[in-house]
Amino acid sequence: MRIKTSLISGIFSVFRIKRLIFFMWSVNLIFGLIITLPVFTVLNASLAPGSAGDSMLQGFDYQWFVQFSSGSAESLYFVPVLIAIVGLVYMVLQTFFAGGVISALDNESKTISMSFFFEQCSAYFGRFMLLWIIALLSSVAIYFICTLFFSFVVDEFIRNASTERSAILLSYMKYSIYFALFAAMHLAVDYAKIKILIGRSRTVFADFISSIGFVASNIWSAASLFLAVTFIGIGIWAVYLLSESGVNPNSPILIGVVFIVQQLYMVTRLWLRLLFYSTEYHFFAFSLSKATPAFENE
Amino acid sequence: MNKTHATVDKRQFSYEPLGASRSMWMNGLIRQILSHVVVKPLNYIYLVSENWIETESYALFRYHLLLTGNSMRNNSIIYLSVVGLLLFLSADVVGFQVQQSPRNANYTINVILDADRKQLIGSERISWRNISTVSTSELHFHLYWNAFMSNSTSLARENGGMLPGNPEMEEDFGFTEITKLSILNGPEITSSIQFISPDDGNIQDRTVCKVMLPGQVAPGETIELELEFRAKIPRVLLRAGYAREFVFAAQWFPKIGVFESGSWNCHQYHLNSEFYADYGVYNVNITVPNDYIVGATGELINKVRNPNTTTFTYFQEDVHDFAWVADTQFIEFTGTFEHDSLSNVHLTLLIQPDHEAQAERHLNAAKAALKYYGEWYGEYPYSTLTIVDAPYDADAANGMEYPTLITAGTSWIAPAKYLQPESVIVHEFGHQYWYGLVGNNEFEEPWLDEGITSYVQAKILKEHFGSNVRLFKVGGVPFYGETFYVIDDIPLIAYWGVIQVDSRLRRLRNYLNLPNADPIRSSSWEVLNSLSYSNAAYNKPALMLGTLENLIGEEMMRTVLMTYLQNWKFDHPSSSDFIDNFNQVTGENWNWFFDQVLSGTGVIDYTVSEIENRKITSEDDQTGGNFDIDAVDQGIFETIASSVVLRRLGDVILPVEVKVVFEDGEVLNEIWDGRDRWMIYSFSRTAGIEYVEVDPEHKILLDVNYTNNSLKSDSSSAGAVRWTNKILFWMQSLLHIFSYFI
Repeated sequence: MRIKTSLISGIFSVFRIKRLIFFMWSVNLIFGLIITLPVFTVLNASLAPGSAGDSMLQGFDYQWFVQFSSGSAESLYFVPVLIAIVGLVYMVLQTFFAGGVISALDNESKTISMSFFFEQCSAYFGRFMLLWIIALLSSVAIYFICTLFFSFVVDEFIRNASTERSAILLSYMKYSIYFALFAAMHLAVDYAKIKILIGRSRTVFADFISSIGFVASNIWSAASLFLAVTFIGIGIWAVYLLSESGVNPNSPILIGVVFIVQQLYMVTRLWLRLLFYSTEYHFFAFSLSKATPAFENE
Repeated sequence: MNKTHATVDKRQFSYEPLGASRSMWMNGLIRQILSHVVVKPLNYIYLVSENWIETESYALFRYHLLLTGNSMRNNSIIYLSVVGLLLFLSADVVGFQVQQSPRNANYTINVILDADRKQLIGSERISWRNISTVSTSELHFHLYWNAFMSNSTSLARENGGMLPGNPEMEEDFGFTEITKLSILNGPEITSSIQFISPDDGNIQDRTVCKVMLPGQVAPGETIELELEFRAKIPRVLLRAGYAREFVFAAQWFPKIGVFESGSWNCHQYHLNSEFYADYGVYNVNITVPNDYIVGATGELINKVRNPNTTTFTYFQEDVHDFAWVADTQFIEFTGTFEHDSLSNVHLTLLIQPDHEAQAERHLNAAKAALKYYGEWYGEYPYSTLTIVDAPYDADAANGMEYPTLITAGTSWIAPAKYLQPESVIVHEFGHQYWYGLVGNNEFEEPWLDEGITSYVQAKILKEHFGSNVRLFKVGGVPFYGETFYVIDDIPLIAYWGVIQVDSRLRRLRNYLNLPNADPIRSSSWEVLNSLSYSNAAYNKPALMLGTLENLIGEEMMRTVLMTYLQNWKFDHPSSSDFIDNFNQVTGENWNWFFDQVLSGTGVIDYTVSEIENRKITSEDDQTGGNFDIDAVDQGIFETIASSVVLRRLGDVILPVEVKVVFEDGEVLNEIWDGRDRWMIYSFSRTAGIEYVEVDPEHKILLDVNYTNNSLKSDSSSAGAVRWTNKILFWMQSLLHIFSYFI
């Protein structure tokens, strides 16, 4: 019941803050362009003068790609560095926005203005950054502990697997464990943010630990809610794949159409990200109102 | 396709099991009788009925016949005439085979697999005939597995001081030790064994040894040796070895080198090098525990089951190596290649249980290769072909070729469009011709087998299977597409979609990574690194031959290779022989091409660097009024002076076609000899140049940059915009994924 209620309430809440979605989309687009525009100049220098541009307009010309990746790869040496720098700034900015987003969800009766949004962003930025660093360090620690464990146990099983099939399945199992741990950490961090904001708390580390306890004590409900939203995302992805696969953008008009479809898809993905926050917020608030044992003790 | 578990052809044999000393003694007696009473008078032509084929006596008979064959050349012409007449009269009735190779290095080997200790215990009889014109008082042997003795061998040093696969435990290493060596009916010469390092002087490398003989082996003379050896099977690190119960015995027995031009050609086992040996007859008894399934070079002529072990006897003539494989996990499939004008070939597939569903794909690929090779170049002369699928943890044994036995390589998840295992089977089968039949020196000129095989492989794949599809893997799961940036096997940026690719482009991709480090004509161990070896042996020669095909025509190229095969089969040709054959067949001297491309490190790169269109009015016209009449009639007193600048950026000089397209649709084709570094073509017409392209049909596969081969007078950014849009989406997605990490 909690899951269904949280999901429905979450969806309604996200539609209420749709202005934020478009704001976040524009940020995403600008950051994407910062990386992409230098790449365009390199691509254009290779494709525009000769016939390769025509063939690449019609489809993927592997022969061009082969030669471009060897001959012009040096011109793109900056791309990984650029992705890392822009990505880091983007993550910090998203941490900044998180306070505003959750505050908007927490003030359902209020009309959310951009000034309120940025006020809330600023108010929680320091705490959320600290939370991010704690989570990052915890993730790194978990990763190394798991890797160490896997190297002794799972990898040994893989090495001694009698068939290729069992080796691959064991590998999948290993990756699944990594994914599950990442998802659990992600949930704990999200709930910690919500707890900090609802409780106007300043004890970040304690809130992070208690959120882990909350997720652990509500593991099935929290995971089910997480998976429900994930399945909505998979559905959206499938619709996008279907619409995108039918179009070969070999003219300026079709390129424009594809651009619009891609951006609509990005908007829905951002909506989905807020839906995670929103459903988790409602689930947490619902659990708090019922005074679950995990929080009664605090 | 027939499927069996641990089965062989159900042939019946009517003689005693091998292995017992009494049997061995009896065998020796039978051989002596056969040799003196039956074989010698018949010389090396033999006549058998179908009934004889199923007996070991027949095998021994054939073997001895061939061993002694060439030393009997002085026998009576009368005998030959009589036998020849008999053969002529009976050929249609019983069929016969003739000796196809010199058969001067012949082996009878008995080997026992100690599966628990991963060892081979063997005895070997070698009959070697000196087919050179110079006497020798020493013999040189390869002991390949000594390359896996330690991390100080030449092979390990070439791999950065560590054997491939980073072996750590004692059971991972391997070696071969000759425990006893003697001349048949003569003295023991074990003490004269001396390890030598002819290539690099590395005294830690024991992959070659020489043996001093008490006397000389004169030209035409035959020496017979008996030796005993013990070999520790290495873990599969490179080509041969074991992985759990799987054993791939390749380069496993002490093997004599090639004596030519007065010296021994017997190179050390290097990281990139393969093999070189004389042709002969192999008769090999392999004894393994009962639960093993065995495949090997040649025909299985006997199988004897003892209480705990089984002995398989394999026999093959006119080959220069012998490999065998054993595993308890194999599932065996059999099939037959049938063709209207080619002989049947019995196919055996030994496949891993995980890959059982791909059995038909394996056999079909082998049949396709047999068909095209047979139709294009000549008939496969052997009656069997065994295809082996090594287990996943012995992948370094896959993709190898030995006479009548090849290893393939596939995955549990193998999309049909990716053409794996088809691609590797077609390639390795190709070596039955370019390595097997044409026995070039793989140490010194690996391109002659790897390059030609790679070229034909691409042709067969295209002809029979169509385009390949690009694929990449994430955690073992295959996805169609191409990766751009990969970190820890995870594609950071990738194109997810079906990309149809001519398999020659894969060669081009690898070649472009290091196009000019070493010439094609490089020894396999004297190259910069493995990538350079791959380019010199595989990629550049395949592209070179593809380029030649485009220049001389497909039919002519086919004739070139067919003639090369027919002239040099069962022989040891060099690059010079290949070039001579090429020139002879085409009727032209192509040395200028081979000097640059085969022996040089220069690259081919032509470009259109500039187009200029300049309007000239009637006032400043300098062409003497060479106007288009229609234009004049319409009152357009204007012409356009156009010029195009072509440049040769690479060092290789090659005539190239140039296509000039004018704005009025007219097309002009020119040939530029490419001798100078640049060329300017000027035109004066009513229409300017719209577009110029060098090598418009992409005949020159070796061109390192096609993108600069063309130039338009008006550039267009549409192609770049299309893909930038895609990249923008990837970047937005990537950033969005980052947001889940906060």
